[in-house]
Amino acid sequence: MLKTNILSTPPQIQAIKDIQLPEVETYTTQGSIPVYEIKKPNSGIVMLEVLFYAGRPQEEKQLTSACCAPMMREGAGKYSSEQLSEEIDFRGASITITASMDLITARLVCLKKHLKEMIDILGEILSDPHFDQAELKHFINRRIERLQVEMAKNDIVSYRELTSGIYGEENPYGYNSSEEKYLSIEVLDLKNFYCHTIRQNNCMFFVSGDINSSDRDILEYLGDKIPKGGIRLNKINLVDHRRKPKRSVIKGHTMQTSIKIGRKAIIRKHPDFHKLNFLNTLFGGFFGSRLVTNVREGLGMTYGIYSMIDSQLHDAGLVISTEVANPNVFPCLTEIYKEMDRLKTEKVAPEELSLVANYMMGSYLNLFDGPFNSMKAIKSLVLSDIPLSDLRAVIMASVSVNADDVIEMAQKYFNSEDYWEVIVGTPQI
Amino acid sequence: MIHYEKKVLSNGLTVIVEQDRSTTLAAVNVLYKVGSRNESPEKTGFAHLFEHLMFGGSKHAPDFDGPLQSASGENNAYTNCDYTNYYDVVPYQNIETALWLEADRMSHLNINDDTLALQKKVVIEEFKEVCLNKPYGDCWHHLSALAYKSHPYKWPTIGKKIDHIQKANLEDVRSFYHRHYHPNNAILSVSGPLEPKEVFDLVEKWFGSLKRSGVVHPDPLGTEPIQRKPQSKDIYADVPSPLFLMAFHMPGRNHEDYYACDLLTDIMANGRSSRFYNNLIRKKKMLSFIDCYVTGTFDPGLILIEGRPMPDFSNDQCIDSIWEEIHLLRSQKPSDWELQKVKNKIISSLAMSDLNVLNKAIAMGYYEWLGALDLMNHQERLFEQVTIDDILDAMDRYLRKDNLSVVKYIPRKNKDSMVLMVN
Repeated sequence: MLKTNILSTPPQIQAIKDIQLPEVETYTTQGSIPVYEIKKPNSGIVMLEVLFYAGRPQEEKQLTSACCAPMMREGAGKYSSEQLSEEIDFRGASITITASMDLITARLVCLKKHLKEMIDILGEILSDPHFDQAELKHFINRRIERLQVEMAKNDIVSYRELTSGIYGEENPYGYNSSEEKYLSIEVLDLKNFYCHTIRQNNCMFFVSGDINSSDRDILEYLGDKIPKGGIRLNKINLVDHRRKPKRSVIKGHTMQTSIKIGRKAIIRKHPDFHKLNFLNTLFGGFFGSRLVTNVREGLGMTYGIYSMIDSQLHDAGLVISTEVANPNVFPCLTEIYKEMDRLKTEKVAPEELSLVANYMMGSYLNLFDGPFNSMKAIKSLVLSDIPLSDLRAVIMASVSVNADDVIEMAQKYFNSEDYWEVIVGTPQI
Repeated sequence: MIHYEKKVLSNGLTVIVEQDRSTTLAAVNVLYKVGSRNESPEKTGFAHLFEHLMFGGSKHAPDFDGPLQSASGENNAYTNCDYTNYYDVVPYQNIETALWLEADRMSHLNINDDTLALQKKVVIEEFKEVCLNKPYGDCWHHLSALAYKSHPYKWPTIGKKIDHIQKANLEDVRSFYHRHYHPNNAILSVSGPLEPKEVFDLVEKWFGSLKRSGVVHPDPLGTEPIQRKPQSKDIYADVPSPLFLMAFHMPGRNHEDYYACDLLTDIMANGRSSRFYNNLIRKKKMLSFIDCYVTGTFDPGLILIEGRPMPDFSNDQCIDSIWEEIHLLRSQKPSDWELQKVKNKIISSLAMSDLNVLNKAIAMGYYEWLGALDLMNHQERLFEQVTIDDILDAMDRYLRKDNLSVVKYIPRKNKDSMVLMVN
């Protein structure tokens, strides 16, 4: 008798029904700064993020936020730019100040034993940045040089064109950087923006890792260093520049063509969000999605294709992106719309729904693995004004989407006439 | 510090396990000791193409990704010049799904014309996307071909040219699989909350019946001759700005000079407090970007310096200034503070990389492949031991003009390549 091969019987898969969520401690400093804390004792490493609502929606002049944030590290308090780098590097730490669409984030990562010294330096950066004229000029020249290099990439050009279409060229989320805009930024713009936004009342702390109650004094100290006053700048009115979508074709590099299509989507707090997020995952959000299975693994048209909800705090886009051989541009667009249409008309089978739900549960497990990862999820909840006590419910709702929900979402969000199309490269008809 | 246990199965599969009770995830890593250095010069890019084929399904698991995603797992793979690495991260309850899938594709991979034809198309698009359609994307093609004359490191992992990928046939695929993909050419490492004994039993269950291969895989072709004079190549290309890469030969990853070379590159250009950043970006404002690193390959590798000049400067002016900086560093010697600073940076980055199961599983596979598993836990000490004299010796040995290969990109004059055509 033939011995059966063990490999012919796959192991039982256990469905993951629940996720161990991190314990988050919340309190406010004496200066009323909210603090969110996830502890991992004895890990030896601390990460602190200080967030300010200081992004594009808060700007009076375009690009101010993107210039203000990194310029805060170019000299502050008693330190020159060079000294700041030297002190931080010597302790094997990192302090970065970055601007995203909605926020300026100061992120400190260091060994626990250097926390005090690093907080001291971070305090200088947040309370007394120099915004030196010569440093700004040098910074801007480097940014312009970098912009030129970025503009030589098809996928960068297509993203810029698409977002300015979706949101509008003058909208905070839709405008693009340019040499002229960089050159117009002056020290006074940065100082005004800083005074308006980098304030105690416009700030939050997220701290994770090897931290305990005795470290709260250090956070009090840092909170106190941040200039007092200000207001919470998280309520804004965006003007909706809704226009009729169109197709742009831009000549770019010739070996391949970048395709991006997109439309407005919904923000995290919208009641449809979890359903649209599920549809997006199923459609193009992971390797087992419809787009990857068909366009890459079925037709071999591309190395990569994906769809994503490009979420900002006050608005969002739904973006589908790929790079294909020039003769495949229009066939690929046809395939993308064909996949959208199928989801509008054909019910998704239970096996596929559970595949997506299981995959998403796996991503949550990864998301909540370790204090630093977990904090990312907590941050996004806090920024969307969703109570932390709802976390489990939010997760469970996000994977409990049924076939009717999927059709409903597809019929709402997958209509080709709503989509901006951008093609950058050398498409062949 | 990673506390691991190691066993070798009777079929030759090396298994390393670490228990981490702080997580509910398990990482399974499978490293095959084959990379682009095992390819023939006429059939480059094959190891990487083959990595794609490993996702094409196997006899008992015709779809690789499906079961893993159903098990709430994530997976991916990468290939470099020395080895090919596959990894899966799953909830620990489903570790057997990952082990089953890996065992089945190690022994029963589906090889057919359809998968091959399809993945050739995907890889060709990858080649174009990564190397041909981005400014400087082909820099490694130019540099490796200039720096290496004989060793297979002279072509990049993605392949020397698209044509080689196009020509790959089913027979090549079968023979590559039989040659390199078997238990005695692989290292399986697992990190997760499970007891090591339980993991060893499960590995035995799924991999124990796999056959040891009698094939002895070939050594890399050719030994690299010693470079005797400087060499340089100008690339006139449709790029937005000039860019240069300087490469100096250095020993392989297991050589004692590796640590001094690595710290030397950090002193020169790692981060905003490094010498080159301070002097060439901050003070002289001649560079927009600078980076310096070692390739860290098994066979003798390269020290690389990469820079992009600001608009008013040329590649040659910047390269001259870099030589001035190198001479200055040699004559002034790095200070104690400077050396301690780069050591501190490495030590804290080592501490941070120890925090998740995937990093640990990958590290265990990698150091075992190096033939020095225990070194994994002594990296800190080996970096700490490097002295200023070691750095100076490394400079004298490797940062020499006759040991230098330079690639320079020079922008062609047809600007305005991005033009709005139709609205």
